[in-house]
Amino acid sequence: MMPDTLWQDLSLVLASRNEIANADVGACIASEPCDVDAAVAKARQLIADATCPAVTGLNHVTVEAQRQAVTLAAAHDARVLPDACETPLDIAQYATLGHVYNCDFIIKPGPGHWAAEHPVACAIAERVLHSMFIGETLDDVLQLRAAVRDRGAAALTDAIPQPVRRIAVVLPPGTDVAIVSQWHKLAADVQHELRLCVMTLPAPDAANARGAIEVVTWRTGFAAPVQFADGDATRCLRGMAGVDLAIEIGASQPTNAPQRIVIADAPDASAAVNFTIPGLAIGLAAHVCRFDGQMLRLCDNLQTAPPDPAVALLQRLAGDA
Amino acid sequence: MTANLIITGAKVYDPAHDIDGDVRDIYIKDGRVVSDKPADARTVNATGCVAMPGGVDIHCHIASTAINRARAILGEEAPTHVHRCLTPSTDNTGKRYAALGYTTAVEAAVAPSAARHTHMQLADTPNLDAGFLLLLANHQCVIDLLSRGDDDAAVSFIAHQLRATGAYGIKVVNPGGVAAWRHDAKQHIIETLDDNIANTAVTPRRILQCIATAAEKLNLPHAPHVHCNRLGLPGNVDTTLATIDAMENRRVHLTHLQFHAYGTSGGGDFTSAATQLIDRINNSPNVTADVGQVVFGDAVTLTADTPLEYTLWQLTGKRYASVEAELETGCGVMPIRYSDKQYLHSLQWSIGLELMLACDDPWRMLLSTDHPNGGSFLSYPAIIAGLMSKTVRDEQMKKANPRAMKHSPLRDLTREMTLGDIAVITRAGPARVLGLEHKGHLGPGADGDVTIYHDLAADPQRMFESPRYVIKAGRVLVDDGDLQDAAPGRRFAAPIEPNEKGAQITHDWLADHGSYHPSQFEITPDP
Repeated sequence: MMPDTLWQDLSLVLASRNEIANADVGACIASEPCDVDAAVAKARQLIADATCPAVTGLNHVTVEAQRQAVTLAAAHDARVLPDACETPLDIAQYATLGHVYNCDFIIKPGPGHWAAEHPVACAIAERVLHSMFIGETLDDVLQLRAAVRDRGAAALTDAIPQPVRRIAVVLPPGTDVAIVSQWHKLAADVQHELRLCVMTLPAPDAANARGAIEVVTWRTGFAAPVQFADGDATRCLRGMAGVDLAIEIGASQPTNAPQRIVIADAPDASAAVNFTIPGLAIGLAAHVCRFDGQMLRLCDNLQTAPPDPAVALLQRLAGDA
Repeated sequence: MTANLIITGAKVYDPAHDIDGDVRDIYIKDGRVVSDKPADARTVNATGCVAMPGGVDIHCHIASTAINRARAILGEEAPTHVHRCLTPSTDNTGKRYAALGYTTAVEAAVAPSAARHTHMQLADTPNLDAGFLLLLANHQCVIDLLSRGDDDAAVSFIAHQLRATGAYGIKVVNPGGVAAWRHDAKQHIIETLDDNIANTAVTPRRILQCIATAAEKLNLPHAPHVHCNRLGLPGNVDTTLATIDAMENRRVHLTHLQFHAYGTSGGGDFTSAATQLIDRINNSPNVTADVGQVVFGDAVTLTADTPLEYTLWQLTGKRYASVEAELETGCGVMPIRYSDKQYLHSLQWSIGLELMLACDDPWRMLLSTDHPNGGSFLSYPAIIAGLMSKTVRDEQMKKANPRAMKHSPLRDLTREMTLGDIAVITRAGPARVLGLEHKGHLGPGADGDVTIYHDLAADPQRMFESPRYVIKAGRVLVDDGDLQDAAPGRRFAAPIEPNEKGAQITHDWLADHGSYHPSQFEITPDP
């Protein structure tokens, strides 16, 4: 039985409390159930025959599986086209959740209802009692920046009823990047007067998107789609153009590649080869990455929990096992 | 591949055993150096070559959340070669260090809550044995405990943080300054070591002393690794000297010392205070340092000294990212370019070389670039060339800012380091200062890490850029520039006994202030 404390932490990452029933892998070839060995052999054949394979997805698998997915891509000179990519902001004043929890005040651009429904916003509201909603548009933040340039941090703090030293701006998921960027620049503008950080909350179904970004970045050097050639990664600007085989690993959306190998926690009858895995199951000896970069265990005890079977599967597809 | 090896005919430089160019064989059995020739061993003929222990990088940023952010930034905007040199992927980090003849490195700055991230990155960095240093000098829990006068509790807390995260040592960055910045943007400037932090009785001096006490009580292999207050400010040599005093003759390692070696002219301009600092260090056997050499060209500033990073951004207006990490520390990232046309950059370049050339004891003044802050670790061969040849330095000085060079003590430093000196500052010295008993030497029991160079003493840059062989734990990793093998590196951590008090303090702290349950904090080894 999973401790409640574990779920409390993981509920800020995972949309559902999916506790592992078993750590087995299921397999189908052309929607017909088969044993895993046969499916692996078929998948390896497809990969060997592909001229332009791509590894896609990665949001709904563990950090361990994400790392192995990059190894798979490198082994077969494949592209890595994750669901989650990140274009770094020019100016950024981030904070992790623990810093935000200890702020004096939260500013929440946008109408109020989004915060009442978002688990992370609710968690923040439990810890930081004072907050206010303000305008959410680009014009709103640009006007505020102009006011800050004229009057300094007072342009912000005058509207706040109590003295504050540390403020967090918490933005709803899906906030336009132009607005996000302006908030970060505003934070940098006032940093010498007022500690202000900006946090954009994840989409409720983001799952392990942050993990994908972090892993792809450290394994390839890029927080962006990449392509491998002779084991070395460079940025890939071509997306799915020309891809003849997609290896969809914990993907949020299917691709339209001519051939697909799907590795996911649900069956996909349209895939040439389909493996069902536990995915982000609580109880696996593996990790997920919270949206602010904090790595969290999926289990109570790494020594006794079952390993993520997706890792061994991906090793076999890479030719490592 | 066997881990038994016989290396024949090399000119061996093993300063730890006073071997300075003797031609002798090296025997490795089961990955360790042994006295007797092993059976069933591959033979590497190193006749005409130079052999040294594998390189040890005492301070670099290769496996943290901060360097990962830097990878993302440079991956987007920098030319490919700049990105590859400064912020390589974990895979390429391991390969490039191996190709350079380095087999051990220390990730210099990790926040406790981000330690798991570092472990994973190091696991994906092949060929490099590694440890990391834990950022504790601005942890709010430490500040709170010291504020209550409970220094013992602070030591217990520090002990548990090290043990629970698997860290190797303690990193001190701008002690108290980052906590002050976190508390109040307007009152964070540290003027002296006796400034009060965030309206408490805690001072940078008290933090340093607490950490020195912790290092002693825990018998840590490595001294507190200190990035002094007031980095980069004119006249900051006074703070550096005061930091040495504050340690009261206890062990201290001053890191990237070049950034802390500035005097000031009457007009507030920067001058070199390297001579003053060297005099002090020469007479302070408890003090070791790495220089943080600046290399002209592209670099990335990456530091837990978030107020410093903010100041740099205000001065330069460049691309910039800052992260406040729980209430533990922060990190800032900003690309930078050191220009030989600029007075300050030329001065910085000169100071680093002055420190290495003028220090009496090369065992206590070690080579680093604080990669990627001063430049890439790939620049080490070029730096070595300058250290070994006054002619090379003189040519470099001609290209630097004339005003900076006009009065530079570097002009008059005639010392030319020998291969033995280089072996000290790049492997034997770092290993000894880090307390890594099996690294940095080739005596029996040492790890079988050996770098074999073509004997090109007349062209040391080329010599150190392209080792003939790089051997790790008795296996040939690199053969004439070709990577033959890749193996996961080993992790080293400080041996710390469990302590319930520290565990309880951590538990209570995380329950009150953290963003995850305390049970998530302990890092157990991967199954």
